[in-house]
Amino acid sequence: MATSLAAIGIIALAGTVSYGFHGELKPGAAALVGLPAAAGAIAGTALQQRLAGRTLSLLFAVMLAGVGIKLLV
Amino acid sequence: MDVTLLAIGLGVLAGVLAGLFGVGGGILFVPTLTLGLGLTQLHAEATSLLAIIPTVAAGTWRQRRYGNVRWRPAIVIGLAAIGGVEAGVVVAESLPEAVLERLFGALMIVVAAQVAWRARRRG
Repeated sequence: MATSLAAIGIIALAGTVSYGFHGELKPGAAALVGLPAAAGAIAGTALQQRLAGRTLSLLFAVMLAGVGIKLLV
Repeated sequence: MDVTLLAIGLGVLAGVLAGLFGVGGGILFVPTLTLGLGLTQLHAEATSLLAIIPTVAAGTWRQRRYGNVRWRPAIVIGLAAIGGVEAGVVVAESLPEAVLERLFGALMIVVAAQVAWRARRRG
């Protein structure tokens, strides 16, 4: 999992450079969401040890599917 | 200002959920950027890649301290995927916004099924 994280970093960097050349990036929005998310991810990883029960995961799956369906229809 | 606070709040929430459920940040950043900040689907997908970098850097830095990162496979996989990333960017640039949005919706449903499947197996 840690190794895939490092690989994702390289992929994200490549995608960022490529989209940057196409002029599609919004750096302000990325910083607004990405920097707080970095802190949130550390908290989430710590919470995982105590909270990640089956019901919580299923609720999260329902939320993801709900947004997915909203985008689909 | 309200939109800024909303974006920061959604960013923290997306980070917590990504860490809690082991999903990539992008699957949460893209809807945050489209539904929360009003970006187009293409701009949100591009921007989410940039937003992922600090999250991944923080995670990798922490894991590296525990000796969990195998740099060689990480670099090989990352470099090998660059061609695929370039192809993806070209396809995304060529697709109409509505199609891109629907494809992302389908991806979210697949990830939802994966999260539910893992939860069921854990029992």
